Amino acid sequence: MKLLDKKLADKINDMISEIVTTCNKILSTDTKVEANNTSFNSKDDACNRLKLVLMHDRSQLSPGQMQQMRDELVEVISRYVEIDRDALDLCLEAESNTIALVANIPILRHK
Amino acid sequence: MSGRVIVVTSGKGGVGKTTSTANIGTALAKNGAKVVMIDTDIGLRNLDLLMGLENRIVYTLIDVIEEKCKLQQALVKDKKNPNLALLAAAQTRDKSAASPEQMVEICKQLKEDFDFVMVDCPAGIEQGFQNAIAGATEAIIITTPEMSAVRDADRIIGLLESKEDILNYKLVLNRVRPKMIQSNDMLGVTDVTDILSVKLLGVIPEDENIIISTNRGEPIVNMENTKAGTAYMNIARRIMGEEIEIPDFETPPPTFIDKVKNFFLATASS
Repeated sequence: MKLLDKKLADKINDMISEIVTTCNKILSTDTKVEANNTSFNSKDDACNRLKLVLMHDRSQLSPGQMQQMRDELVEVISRYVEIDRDALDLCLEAESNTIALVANIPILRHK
Repeated sequence: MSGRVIVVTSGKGGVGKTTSTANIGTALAKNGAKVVMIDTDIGLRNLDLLMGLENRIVYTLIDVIEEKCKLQQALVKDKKNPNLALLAAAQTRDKSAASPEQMVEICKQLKEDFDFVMVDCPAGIEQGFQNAIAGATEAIIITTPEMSAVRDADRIIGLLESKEDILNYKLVLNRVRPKMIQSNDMLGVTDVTDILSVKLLGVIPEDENIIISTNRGEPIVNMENTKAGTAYMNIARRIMGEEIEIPDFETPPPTFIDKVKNFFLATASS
């Protein structure tokens, strides 16, 4: 039973990584298309960039500090569990008036 | 009498603080209120120019602070409206010539005689800004649908929120181009209010008449039938408590085909 689970998990993992690479491919070609296309709706661009920069402004955290915090978090958490360093996702999310620091840390196995 | 002290601020320069102060102040006076406008942009004064009063200034805000004259002597009456006065900034000094405590005192004295004290704030968030907001209990934040102006407005909102004396603040979105919003090439009114999570006081459409009115030293609310003038008049009436709907600048006006469709739909349903 356990063996089956392991196989299944591996398959799912492969599948996910495939999906991610395809998504990335699509996204990277998309941005190229967008950049060339003058009719691309620039308002959404402005909205998204503004939201991101305001989150950093409001939290008083620069992208550089975010990276530093991410590195330090990885270091601390790695003392207890083995984590997938590359998959660690740390970002700021805004909900109306509050800002949250959201971290998604995939654990590979307990140490 | 205890009037309302309203500061007009924006963070970023060039978004229309002084134009808005001149027009909202004039519009309030046109509606019968007694209004005084204070230019706190010491060293870079311009409110006198927009009001066409640049040749009448004898004493300034700094003269009052330094007790070189009485407050009443420094007030310049508007050319047209006797209910409207201006307290100009000194042009040969800098922001450090005034302190927040002194501004509180001046606003306190002025609100005894006037219904509205409109404070024109300089750009930036340094001492000039601190002076301008010191005596105010309300704020109008001016921004335009540009990223840099919205970002700076957000900073200003943060600073105003930490100030206990400011009881409420509202947003005026200036220089809006409806056609660009409709073609999704400009941040829309709701985009900006959502991002800043702030209440809207009014929307001013881009209007070439603003340039003409500035050239003449005559606020646009004194010109007949202008888009921006009407929008400023409505803002003044909202400040005075009237409920006036803010026009929709986001949906394109109905095309001929839409009108025909609506006509048939209406006749079909009746």
